[in-house]
Amino acid sequence: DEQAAPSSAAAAATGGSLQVGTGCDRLLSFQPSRLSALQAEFLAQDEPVEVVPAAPMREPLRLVCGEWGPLRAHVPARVPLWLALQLHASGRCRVVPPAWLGVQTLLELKEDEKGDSYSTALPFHWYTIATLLLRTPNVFGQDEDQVRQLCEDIRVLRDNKTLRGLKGIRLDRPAINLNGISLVELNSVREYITLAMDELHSERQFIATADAVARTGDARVAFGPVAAATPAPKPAAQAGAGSAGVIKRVLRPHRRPQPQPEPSQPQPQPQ
Amino acid sequence: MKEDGDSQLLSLSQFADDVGAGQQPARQQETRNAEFHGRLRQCCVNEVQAPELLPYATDVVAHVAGVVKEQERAGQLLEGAVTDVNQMYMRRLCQLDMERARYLLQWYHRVRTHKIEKFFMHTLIDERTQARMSPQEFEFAKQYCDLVGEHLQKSFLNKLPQGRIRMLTDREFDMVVAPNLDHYVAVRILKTIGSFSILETSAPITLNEGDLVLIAYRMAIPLLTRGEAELV
Repeated sequence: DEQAAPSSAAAAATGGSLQVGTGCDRLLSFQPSRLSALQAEFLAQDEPVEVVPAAPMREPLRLVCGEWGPLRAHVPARVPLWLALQLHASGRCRVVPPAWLGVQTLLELKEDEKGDSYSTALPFHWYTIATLLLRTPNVFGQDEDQVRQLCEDIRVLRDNKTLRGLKGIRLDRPAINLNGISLVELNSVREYITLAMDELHSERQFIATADAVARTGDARVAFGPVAAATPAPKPAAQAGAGSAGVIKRVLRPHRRPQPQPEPSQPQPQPQ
Repeated sequence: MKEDGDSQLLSLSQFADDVGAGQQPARQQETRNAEFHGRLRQCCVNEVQAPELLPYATDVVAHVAGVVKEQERAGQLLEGAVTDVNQMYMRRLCQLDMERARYLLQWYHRVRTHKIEKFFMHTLIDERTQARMSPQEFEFAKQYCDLVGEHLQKSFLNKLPQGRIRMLTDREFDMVVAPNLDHYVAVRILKTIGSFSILETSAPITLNEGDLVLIAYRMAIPLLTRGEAELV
């Protein structure tokens, strides 16, 4: 199916990544089926973070996302990051940076990152959380510059690893292990890596079909094992007369009285 | 033991704590709210990353939308009655949270609508996809198909030679754009599976809990259906 209707199917498969123009890019490339940077930040802001309240809040905060509190003065509590940043901005609480965002821990993580694989000690949303907390005043105190520098160093090391890992995309590898990668890094390479793997997958299927055709000597095997046994059915749209009738029947399939003959699937269903 | 710092408003939660009667169901309700909120978030991500339309999460959407409506109603009742600065601040936090929940609901429906529009022909032909839509989405799909048909007819189909108009839906050349189920997706494994075979021609891979792998969506469908993995 992929090779049959190349432009439309390929465009649909790759999520319409064929973009045109320069000025209208943002409008024409409106693709809700992509995780944007802001949406990644939105998801990261639900991660729990520790806060130390300055004053008590006797009533718990009953929200759509759950119940938080009641907050007692100077007793650490866990709340979502977005709530923690709001409370910190209003002065009611002080955000405590997570354990992995301390200078000593970051130095150790930087040493770990010099190895071959991603360090799994960093959470999935680490870069977003670090950026948001570094942007907030009075969270880190004196260590802020050092933490910022260490985060950038770790980001560079991991990005280099990602770029090196792209070279591992090969025809004979149908799966890639991405243990320890974070959402920001994944989003930065997702389009390229999925496009490359999709193309290689088509290539693998093409090679497999070509082998099957060469083995059996029957070209109809290319359309699936059942196709080789049965003759190809006529297209459904040829039944009936009149162009208007054809258009009505074809473009409004939900009103079709007879069920459409089911073409045999070339790939087996996984379920 | 009473806490110091009396508030003029008698909080219902305090009263419930003293009596001890309504505490258990209220706690369960909050836990369920948190659980459904997390599930809605995961539904959004699944819908964004999956190439095909996934089953409509009726219970999750109904629950979260219900909680948002309740909060809105409670907010409207308290409008003007709250004068304490702290209470107003807490109401503002509730409003922020409601905006976030509304965004999640809109995002979920927006992605699904985009997929229905992109594959509208396939959606209306394929019974499996039809079963995955909500009644409103099915109505939308039908109306969209009618509109597109009318538009194509008026714009150029009526100018083509009548005998040449045909929509090919046979195996050799299928004009119906279907989602590419071999699209590669990033999958996080939730339960240790062990040896997992991807292709007949290649060696099986080992999947442990917490692993993140990039595999073809078709291979991941059984894992996603059984809840052993999630899209990322």
